[in-house]
Amino acid sequence: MPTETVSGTVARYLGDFPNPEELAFARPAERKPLYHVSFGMGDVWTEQGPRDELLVEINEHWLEPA
Amino acid sequence: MNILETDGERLLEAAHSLLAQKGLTSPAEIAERIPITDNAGPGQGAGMVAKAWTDPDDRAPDAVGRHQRRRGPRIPMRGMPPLGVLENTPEVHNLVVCTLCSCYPRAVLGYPPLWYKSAAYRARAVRDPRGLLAEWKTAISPDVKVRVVGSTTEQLAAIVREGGMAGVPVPSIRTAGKSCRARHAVPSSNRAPPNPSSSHSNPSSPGLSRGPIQAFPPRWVPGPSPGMTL
Repeated sequence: MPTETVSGTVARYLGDFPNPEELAFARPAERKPLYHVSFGMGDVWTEQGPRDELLVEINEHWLEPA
Repeated sequence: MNILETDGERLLEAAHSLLAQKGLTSPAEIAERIPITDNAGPGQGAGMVAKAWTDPDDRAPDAVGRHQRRRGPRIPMRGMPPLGVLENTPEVHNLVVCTLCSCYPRAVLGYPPLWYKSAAYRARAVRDPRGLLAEWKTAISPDVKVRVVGSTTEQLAAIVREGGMAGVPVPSIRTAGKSCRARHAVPSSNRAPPNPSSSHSNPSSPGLSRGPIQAFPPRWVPGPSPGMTL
Protein backbone atom coordinates (compact mmCIF):
# COMPACT_ATOMS: atom_id res chain seq x y z
CA MET A 1 0.00 0.00 0.00
CA PRO A 2 1.35 3.46 -0.79
CA THR A 3 1.64 4.65 2.81
CA GLU A 4 5.13 6.06 2.20
CA THR A 5 5.31 9.65 3.54
CA VAL A 6 1.67 9.48 4.64
CA SER A 7 1.01 10.50 8.22
CA GLY A 8 -0.93 8.04 10.32
CA THR A 9 -1.52 7.18 13.94
CA VAL A 10 -0.04 4.35 15.96
CA ALA A 11 -3.08 2.44 17.12
CA ARG A 12 -1.55 -0.49 18.95
CA TYR A 13 1.74 -2.16 19.80
CA LEU A 14 1.51 -5.74 18.62
CA GLY A 15 4.72 -7.20 20.03
CA ASP A 16 8.30 -7.77 18.91
CA PHE A 17 8.82 -10.09 15.94
CA PRO A 18 11.80 -11.25 13.87
CA ASN A 19 12.44 -8.71 11.13
CA PRO A 20 10.70 -10.09 8.02
CA GLU A 21 13.19 -8.31 5.75
CA GLU A 22 15.88 -10.64 7.09
CA LEU A 23 13.65 -13.70 7.38
CA ALA A 24 12.85 -13.40 3.67
CA PHE A 25 16.51 -14.12 2.91
CA ALA A 26 16.93 -16.76 5.64
CA ARG A 27 19.27 -14.46 7.53
CA PRO A 28 19.42 -14.06 11.31
CA ALA A 29 16.56 -11.72 12.14
CA GLU A 30 16.58 -9.27 15.01
CA ARG A 31 13.26 -8.90 16.79
CA LYS A 32 11.64 -5.58 15.94
CA PRO A 33 8.64 -3.83 17.45
CA LEU A 34 5.53 -4.09 15.29
CA TYR A 35 2.61 -1.68 15.36
CA HIS A 36 -0.85 -1.38 13.96
CA VAL A 37 -0.82 2.00 12.27
CA SER A 38 -4.04 3.66 11.20
CA PHE A 39 -4.29 5.78 8.06
CA GLY A 40 -7.25 7.75 6.82
CA MET A 41 -8.43 6.18 3.56
CA GLY A 42 -8.61 9.64 2.01
CA ASP A 43 -4.98 10.35 2.96
CA VAL A 44 -3.79 7.30 1.05
CA TRP A 45 -6.11 7.33 -1.96
CA THR A 46 -7.19 10.67 -3.35
CA GLU A 47 -10.52 9.36 -4.63
CA GLN A 48 -11.62 8.01 -1.26
CA GLY A 49 -13.46 9.89 1.42
CA PRO A 50 -12.01 10.52 4.86
CA ARG A 51 -14.30 8.37 6.98
CA ASP A 52 -12.85 4.95 6.27
CA GLU A 53 -9.59 3.65 7.63
CA LEU A 54 -6.65 1.47 6.69
CA LEU A 55 -5.04 -0.40 9.57
CA VAL A 56 -1.63 -1.65 8.56
CA GLU A 57 1.13 -3.55 10.36
CA ILE A 58 4.40 -1.61 10.22
CA ASN A 59 7.70 -2.29 11.96
CA GLU A 60 9.13 0.50 14.08
CA HIS A 61 12.15 1.05 11.84
CA TRP A 62 9.83 2.08 9.01
CA LEU A 63 8.25 4.83 11.08
CA GLU A 64 9.37 8.28 12.10
CA PRO A 65 7.66 10.87 14.30
CA ALA A 66 5.43 13.19 12.27
CA MET B 1 11.31 -28.83 -18.89
CA ASN B 2 8.28 -26.68 -18.34
CA ILE B 3 7.35 -26.75 -14.68
CA LEU B 4 3.72 -26.00 -15.50
CA GLU B 5 3.47 -29.15 -17.60
CA THR B 6 5.22 -31.42 -15.13
CA ASP B 7 3.18 -34.00 -13.32
CA GLY B 8 2.04 -32.55 -10.00
CA GLU B 9 2.75 -35.71 -8.04
CA ARG B 10 6.34 -35.77 -9.25
CA LEU B 11 6.81 -32.10 -8.37
CA LEU B 12 5.41 -32.73 -4.91
CA GLU B 13 7.69 -35.70 -4.44
CA ALA B 14 10.69 -33.62 -5.52
CA ALA B 15 9.71 -30.82 -3.13
CA HIS B 16 9.33 -33.28 -0.25
CA SER B 17 12.72 -34.75 -1.04
CA LEU B 18 14.44 -31.35 -1.19
CA LEU B 19 12.86 -30.23 2.10
CA ALA B 20 14.04 -33.44 3.77
CA GLN B 21 17.54 -33.16 2.28
CA LYS B 22 17.88 -29.64 3.60
CA GLY B 23 16.64 -30.73 6.99
CA LEU B 24 13.71 -28.29 6.89
CA THR B 25 11.09 -30.93 7.51
CA SER B 26 10.68 -34.68 7.43
CA PRO B 27 8.25 -37.04 5.70
CA ALA B 28 6.85 -37.87 9.14
CA GLU B 29 6.18 -34.21 9.91
CA ILE B 30 4.52 -33.70 6.54
CA ALA B 31 2.36 -36.78 7.09
CA GLU B 32 1.39 -35.46 10.52
CA ARG B 33 0.44 -32.01 9.17
CA ILE B 34 -1.67 -33.13 6.22
CA PRO B 35 -4.70 -34.37 8.22
CA ILE B 36 -4.47 -31.36 10.55
CA THR B 37 -4.62 -28.98 7.61
CA ASP B 38 -7.26 -31.01 5.78
CA ASN B 39 -9.48 -31.11 8.85
CA ALA B 40 -9.12 -27.44 9.74
CA GLY B 41 -12.13 -25.34 8.90
CA PRO B 42 -13.86 -22.11 9.87
CA GLY B 43 -15.72 -23.97 12.62
CA GLN B 44 -12.49 -24.28 14.57
CA GLY B 45 -11.89 -20.56 14.51
CA ALA B 46 -15.49 -19.97 15.48
CA GLY B 47 -15.14 -22.34 18.41
CA MET B 48 -11.99 -20.63 19.64
CA VAL B 49 -13.58 -17.20 19.41
CA ALA B 50 -16.78 -18.32 21.13
CA LYS B 51 -14.89 -20.05 23.92
CA ALA B 52 -12.58 -17.13 24.55
CA TRP B 53 -15.40 -14.61 24.50
CA THR B 54 -17.46 -16.45 27.07
CA ASP B 55 -14.84 -15.22 29.53
CA PRO B 56 -15.74 -11.53 29.96
CA ASP B 57 -12.09 -10.57 30.51
CA ASP B 58 -11.24 -12.08 27.17
CA ARG B 59 -13.54 -10.04 25.00
CA ALA B 60 -10.81 -7.95 23.47
CA PRO B 61 -8.73 -7.83 20.27
CA ASP B 62 -6.26 -10.45 21.50
CA ALA B 63 -8.89 -12.56 23.24
CA VAL B 64 -8.03 -15.85 21.60
CA GLY B 65 -4.30 -15.33 22.00
CA ARG B 66 -4.65 -14.70 25.72
CA HIS B 67 -7.06 -17.57 26.10
CA GLN B 68 -4.59 -19.90 24.41
CA ARG B 69 -1.69 -18.69 26.52
CA ARG B 70 -3.62 -19.23 29.72
CA ARG B 71 -5.39 -22.47 28.97
CA GLY B 72 -3.06 -23.94 26.40
CA PRO B 73 -3.66 -24.24 22.68
CA ARG B 74 -6.54 -26.38 21.54
CA ILE B 75 -5.37 -26.18 17.96
CA PRO B 76 -1.73 -26.73 17.04
CA MET B 77 -0.44 -23.64 15.25
CA ARG B 78 3.07 -23.67 13.87
CA GLY B 79 5.24 -21.11 15.62
CA MET B 80 2.31 -20.10 17.82
CA PRO B 81 1.73 -16.77 16.11
CA PRO B 82 -0.46 -14.35 18.02
CA LEU B 83 -4.02 -14.61 16.85
CA GLY B 84 -6.05 -11.44 16.70
CA VAL B 85 -9.82 -11.31 16.61
CA LEU B 86 -11.61 -8.28 15.25
CA GLU B 87 -15.09 -7.43 16.41
CA ASN B 88 -17.53 -5.87 14.01
CA THR B 89 -19.71 -3.35 15.79
CA PRO B 90 -22.60 -1.09 14.75
CA GLU B 91 -19.94 1.61 14.16
CA VAL B 92 -17.13 -0.33 12.48
CA HIS B 93 -17.03 -3.04 9.83
CA ASN B 94 -13.65 -4.79 9.54
CA LEU B 95 -12.39 -6.15 6.24
CA VAL B 96 -9.27 -8.31 6.38
CA VAL B 97 -6.80 -8.59 3.54
CA CYS B 98 -3.22 -9.67 3.12
CA THR B 99 -1.81 -7.42 0.42
CA LEU B 100 1.58 -9.07 0.40
CA CYS B 101 1.08 -12.76 -0.16
CA SER B 102 -2.40 -13.77 1.09
CA CYS B 103 -1.39 -14.98 4.56
CA TYR B 104 -4.26 -16.89 6.12
CA PRO B 105 -4.67 -18.63 9.48
CA ARG B 106 -5.10 -22.10 8.01
CA ALA B 107 -4.75 -23.83 11.35
CA VAL B 108 -8.01 -22.32 12.53
CA LEU B 109 -9.87 -21.59 9.29
CA GLY B 110 -8.68 -24.23 6.86
CA TYR B 111 -7.74 -23.58 3.27
CA PRO B 112 -8.25 -20.01 2.13
CA PRO B 113 -10.92 -19.38 -0.45
CA LEU B 114 -9.38 -18.75 -3.88
CA TRP B 115 -10.74 -15.21 -4.10
CA TYR B 116 -8.90 -14.27 -0.89
CA LYS B 117 -5.61 -14.99 -2.64
CA SER B 118 -6.52 -13.25 -5.89
CA ALA B 119 -4.65 -10.14 -6.93
CA ALA B 120 -7.99 -8.47 -7.62
CA TYR B 121 -9.30 -8.92 -4.08
CA ARG B 122 -6.00 -7.90 -2.52
CA ALA B 123 -5.73 -4.77 -4.63
CA ARG B 124 -9.33 -3.67 -4.44
CA ALA B 125 -9.89 -4.37 -0.74
CA VAL B 126 -7.46 -1.63 0.22
CA ARG B 127 -8.49 0.86 -2.45
CA ASP B 128 -12.23 0.56 -2.83
CA PRO B 129 -13.53 -1.66 -0.03
CA ARG B 130 -17.09 -0.38 -0.21
CA GLY B 131 -17.29 -0.91 -3.96
CA LEU B 132 -15.84 -4.38 -3.61
CA LEU B 133 -18.25 -5.35 -0.84
CA ALA B 134 -21.19 -3.92 -2.74
CA GLU B 135 -20.41 -6.17 -5.69
CA TRP B 136 -20.77 -9.08 -3.27
CA LYS B 137 -24.10 -7.72 -2.07
CA THR B 138 -22.69 -6.51 1.23
CA ALA B 139 -23.78 -2.89 1.47
CA ILE B 140 -22.15 -1.06 4.35
CA SER B 141 -24.15 1.89 5.62
CA PRO B 142 -22.42 5.26 5.08
CA ASP B 143 -22.58 5.91 8.82
CA VAL B 144 -20.49 2.81 9.48
CA LYS B 145 -16.73 3.12 9.21
CA VAL B 146 -15.01 0.52 7.04
CA ARG B 147 -11.70 -0.47 8.56
CA VAL B 148 -9.48 -2.36 6.15
CA VAL B 149 -7.04 -4.42 8.19
CA GLY B 150 -3.88 -5.46 6.42
CA SER B 151 -2.58 -8.75 7.73
CA THR B 152 0.86 -8.94 6.21
CA THR B 153 3.31 -10.02 8.86
CA GLU B 154 2.92 -11.98 12.05
CA GLN B 155 -0.56 -11.08 13.17
CA LEU B 156 -3.39 -13.22 12.02
CA ALA B 157 -6.94 -12.14 12.13
CA ALA B 158 -9.78 -14.56 12.38
CA ILE B 159 -13.46 -13.99 12.27
CA VAL B 160 -16.00 -16.62 12.60
CA ARG B 161 -16.59 -18.22 9.27
CA GLU B 162 -15.18 -18.51 5.83
CA GLY B 163 -15.93 -15.33 3.96
CA GLY B 164 -17.11 -13.92 7.26
CA MET B 165 -13.55 -14.34 8.38
CA ALA B 166 -12.38 -11.64 6.05
CA GLY B 167 -15.38 -9.41 6.70
CA VAL B 168 -16.80 -9.81 3.22
CA PRO B 169 -20.36 -10.77 4.12
CA VAL B 170 -22.14 -9.46 7.17
CA PRO B 171 -23.01 -12.57 9.17
CA SER B 172 -26.69 -13.30 9.45
CA ILE B 173 -28.15 -14.86 12.56
CA ARG B 174 -31.02 -17.28 12.23
CA THR B 175 -33.46 -17.10 15.12
CA ALA B 176 -36.87 -18.72 15.34
CA GLY B 177 -36.98 -19.28 11.63
CA LYS B 178 -36.21 -15.65 10.84
CA SER B 179 -32.97 -14.51 9.33
CA CYS B 180 -31.55 -11.27 10.70
CA ARG B 181 -28.60 -9.29 9.49
CA ALA B 182 -26.27 -7.20 11.59
CA ARG B 183 -27.62 -3.72 12.14
CA HIS B 184 -25.18 -1.85 9.99
CA ALA B 185 -25.91 -3.77 6.82
CA VAL B 186 -28.64 -1.71 5.27
CA PRO B 187 -29.92 -1.60 1.72
CA SER B 188 -27.89 0.85 -0.32
CA SER B 189 -31.08 2.80 -1.02
CA ASN B 190 -31.49 3.49 2.69
CA ARG B 191 -28.45 5.62 3.23
CA ALA B 192 -27.92 8.05 6.06
CA PRO B 193 -25.38 10.87 6.23
CA PRO B 194 -22.01 9.76 7.58
CA ASN B 195 -20.93 10.36 11.15
CA PRO B 196 -17.47 11.57 12.08
CA SER B 197 -15.10 8.64 12.29
CA SER B 198 -14.68 7.06 15.68
CA SER B 199 -11.46 7.23 17.66
CA HIS B 200 -9.16 4.43 18.70
CA SER B 201 -8.83 2.88 22.09
CA ASN B 202 -5.74 3.75 24.09
CA PRO B 203 -2.98 1.38 23.14
CA SER B 204 0.21 0.82 25.05
CA SER B 205 3.44 1.10 23.17
CA PRO B 206 6.95 0.65 24.53
CA GLY B 207 8.89 2.39 21.78
CA LEU B 208 6.54 4.88 20.20
CA SER B 209 3.95 6.86 22.02
CA ARG B 210 0.52 6.89 20.48
CA GLY B 211 0.16 9.83 18.18
CA PRO B 212 0.86 11.02 14.69
CA ILE B 213 3.69 9.29 12.90
CA GLN B 214 4.91 9.18 9.36
CA ALA B 215 5.64 6.01 7.46
CA PHE B 216 8.74 6.04 5.35
CA PRO B 217 11.12 3.45 3.97
CA PRO B 218 14.60 3.83 5.48
CA ARG B 219 16.05 1.99 2.50
CA TRP B 220 14.86 0.08 -0.48
CA VAL B 221 14.36 -3.55 0.40
CA PRO B 222 13.67 -6.18 -2.23
CA GLY B 223 10.68 -8.17 -1.14
CA PRO B 224 8.62 -11.06 -2.36
CA SER B 225 6.83 -10.62 -5.64
CA PRO B 226 3.39 -9.05 -5.13
CA GLY B 227 1.92 -11.89 -7.12
CA MET B 228 3.28 -14.57 -4.84
CA THR B 229 0.82 -16.71 -2.97
CA LEU B 230 1.44 -19.22 -0.24
